[in-house]
Amino acid sequence: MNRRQFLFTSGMASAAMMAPGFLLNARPNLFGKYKGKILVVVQLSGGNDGLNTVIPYRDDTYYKLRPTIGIKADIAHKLNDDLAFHPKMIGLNALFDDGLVNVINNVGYPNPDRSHFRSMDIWQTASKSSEYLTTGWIGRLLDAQCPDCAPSYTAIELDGTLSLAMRGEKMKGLALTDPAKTAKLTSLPSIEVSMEHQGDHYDEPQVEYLQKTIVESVSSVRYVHEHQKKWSSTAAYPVTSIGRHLKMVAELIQSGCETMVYYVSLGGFDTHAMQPGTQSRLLEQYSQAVKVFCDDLKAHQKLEDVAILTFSEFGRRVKENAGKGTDHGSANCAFLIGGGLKRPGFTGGLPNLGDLDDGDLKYKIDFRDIYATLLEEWLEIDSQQIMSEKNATLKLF
Amino acid sequence: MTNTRQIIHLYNRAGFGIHPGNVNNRREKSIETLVDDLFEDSKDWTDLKEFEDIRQDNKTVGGLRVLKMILKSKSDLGILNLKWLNKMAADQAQLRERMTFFWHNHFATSEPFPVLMQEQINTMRRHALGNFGELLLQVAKDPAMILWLNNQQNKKSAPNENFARELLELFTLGRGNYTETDIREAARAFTGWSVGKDGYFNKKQKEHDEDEKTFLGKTGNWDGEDIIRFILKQKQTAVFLSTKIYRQFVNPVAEPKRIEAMAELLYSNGYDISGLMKFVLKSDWFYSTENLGCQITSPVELLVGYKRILGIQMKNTNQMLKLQRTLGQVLFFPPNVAGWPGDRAWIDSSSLLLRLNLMNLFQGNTSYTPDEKNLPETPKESDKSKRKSKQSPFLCTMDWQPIEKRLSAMKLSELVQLFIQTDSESFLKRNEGPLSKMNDLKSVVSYLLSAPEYQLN
Repeated sequence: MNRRQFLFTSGMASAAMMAPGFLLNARPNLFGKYKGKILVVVQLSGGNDGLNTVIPYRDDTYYKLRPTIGIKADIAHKLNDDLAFHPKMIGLNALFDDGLVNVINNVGYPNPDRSHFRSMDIWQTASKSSEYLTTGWIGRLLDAQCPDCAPSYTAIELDGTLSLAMRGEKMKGLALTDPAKTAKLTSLPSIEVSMEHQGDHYDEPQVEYLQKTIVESVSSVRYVHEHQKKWSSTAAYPVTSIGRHLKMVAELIQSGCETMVYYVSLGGFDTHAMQPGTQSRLLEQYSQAVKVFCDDLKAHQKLEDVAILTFSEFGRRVKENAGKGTDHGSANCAFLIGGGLKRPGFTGGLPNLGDLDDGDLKYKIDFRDIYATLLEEWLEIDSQQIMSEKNATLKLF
Repeated sequence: MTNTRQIIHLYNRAGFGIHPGNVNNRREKSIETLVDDLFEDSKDWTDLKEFEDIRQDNKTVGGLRVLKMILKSKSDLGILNLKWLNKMAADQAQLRERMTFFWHNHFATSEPFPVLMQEQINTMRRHALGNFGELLLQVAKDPAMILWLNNQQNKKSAPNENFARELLELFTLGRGNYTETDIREAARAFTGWSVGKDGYFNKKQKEHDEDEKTFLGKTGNWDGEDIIRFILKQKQTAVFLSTKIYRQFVNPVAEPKRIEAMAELLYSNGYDISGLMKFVLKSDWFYSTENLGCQITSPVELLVGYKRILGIQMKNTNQMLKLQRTLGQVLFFPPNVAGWPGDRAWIDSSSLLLRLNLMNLFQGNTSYTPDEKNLPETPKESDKSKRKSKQSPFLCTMDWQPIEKRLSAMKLSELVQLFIQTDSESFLKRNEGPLSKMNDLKSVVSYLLSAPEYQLN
């Protein structure tokens, strides 16, 4: 090893160690009020059919409109006198019984859009259906906390690309699925040069921006990689993508990684045809993984610090179609899960199948109220900096 | 006598870049001439012709609904995407192709019908350097656009405002320059502008609202053409469009005085796009230091650039689509009608690390492959099958010959200037360590193509 390489290697090592360090001055703002609560978002992509997830098993209209795909009461998991979980949601049912779940029905927004992309954008940016925002609600949370300094690992997405939800004006979250794999991308000679020159002034603003982003990215990736190596969970996570991803989230939480938000997705819910098989398989994957995740956290006294939000971009048409499937709809159910819930149970009442809007459920709970609840009641952050309007909170935490 | 940086700047912005081996033979020419050549090269063009227009053969199938099913099943937009990407890299009409790409982002549409998207992009190419008013009218009659912004549902009995809203907000005037009433009235004027059973534009008279409308203060029995006429009369439309062109072709930071001059010209020449682009590309300020190397290269331009410089061909063409998805820009799939936000929105930790590693990926030095969300997991797909292949999925063939032939005699400082558009002196100073250790051209060029500064043009 020559002198240069040595300097370089040691420079890297200290940069990795320092990663949170040189960003430490940022902390007071971010972590001053922040009490270590963690939000895990589980996004079900493609439009999960809420009516076959939380089944209104006492409603005759439900069975009338869904003669072949309607789920019989005797095989579903009854939650109360009106509602039952999908038969494959054994894990979630157990969590519900333990008082760890709040089922929110009739979630949506005014003038619903039935395009996957558009409706997902609306959910991820927390916009009205008539406005196009280029920042996401979690990205704005990063901006609001510390516009120039929150490290990107403050919000981690378990994916190869970063969703709009995680993009702020100035700050953005970090997307990765395998920190070791991503860490290998940081060993480029040109990146080494950037690291050596961190803190330098550059006359060209875009060059400076890229250099700063590189230094931040490399530090964040290495920080996450270091933490992930610290702890290996022994819980029996299912070998599915959501299982793997939630396992990694649990490991990062248990290793003390200072991440406020984790974002995980499970796709494939666009069940226009032959819905029962597909949805059963996906809900089983979801429910199993979440159950193991919660048990894992509970075993290490972390479940009290974690809230999980599960949503999908829209629900599906009440009436089944000719292909044993359902088409795009609007209002849907969402779940809040965690040890910090003060009010488990139900929010938003029953779905009203007798009062539809062009074949779709009408919304009662604006999804932005759920965000505001998570921001205000859970993370204890003023939601008005992040959401354009004042939203109601649901008094859940 | 034009210098290297100016030449590359012009070709980066008015096209998809220039092969570094072709820079020197342009130096004798003046900027004037180089710009005129670009326009000359764009006089003729070819359409994108991947799919036969099957609408003709299916006129009798029984309605748009059925036709849409046929159109959808016919083929894949991915094929069209790659075809266009290769066209951008190889086409003679670089400026026209670059403008078409601009209009694709301006009138951002994503309908799942390859034949219709092919037609739309060909329409945009035809008018790319023509008259903006004519382009706007053709876009308003474009089947993909009509379906995309729900003008199909815009009927006298129940107007749908989606197209009218975006026409004013995103295509012409911009927010704050019209009222909600203007949107409603414009929507009424476009009632009946729909796609017929045969899949072509059809103005359904019985769905068209024949009553009086008041748009931007003018009352009459207006039709869609009138609305477009009134919009073009507003100087603000010229300002809005000039701002967008300035920010995308010149500098992401708007410069009101220059934009004002552009708008003045565009308005007075009756929205002639060629006239405006000539003015921009021949202006002194287009080449001033603050405008050089200040644009973050979009993923599509970046990939096309690698094709133009190294002729990269991916072994597995689907991976080229995956790369577009991972980098955040897929042709024919803009995120929404507002288009790609661009500039610093291209950059986040993972996309930047991936950009810097592209040469590594193409050269097969790493087996890294990013995971993609929202892909349903099949039960059979186990971890093992994923791990099976260790070879780089992004491996490309490359053509180094022209570079080796024309660049091997060059000094390091000259080489840097051919690839890096930011200040080359400070670049050299920062990078002299690693660069001084390299003794072959390929290593140097690969290094330059992996530098953060290469992300800027």
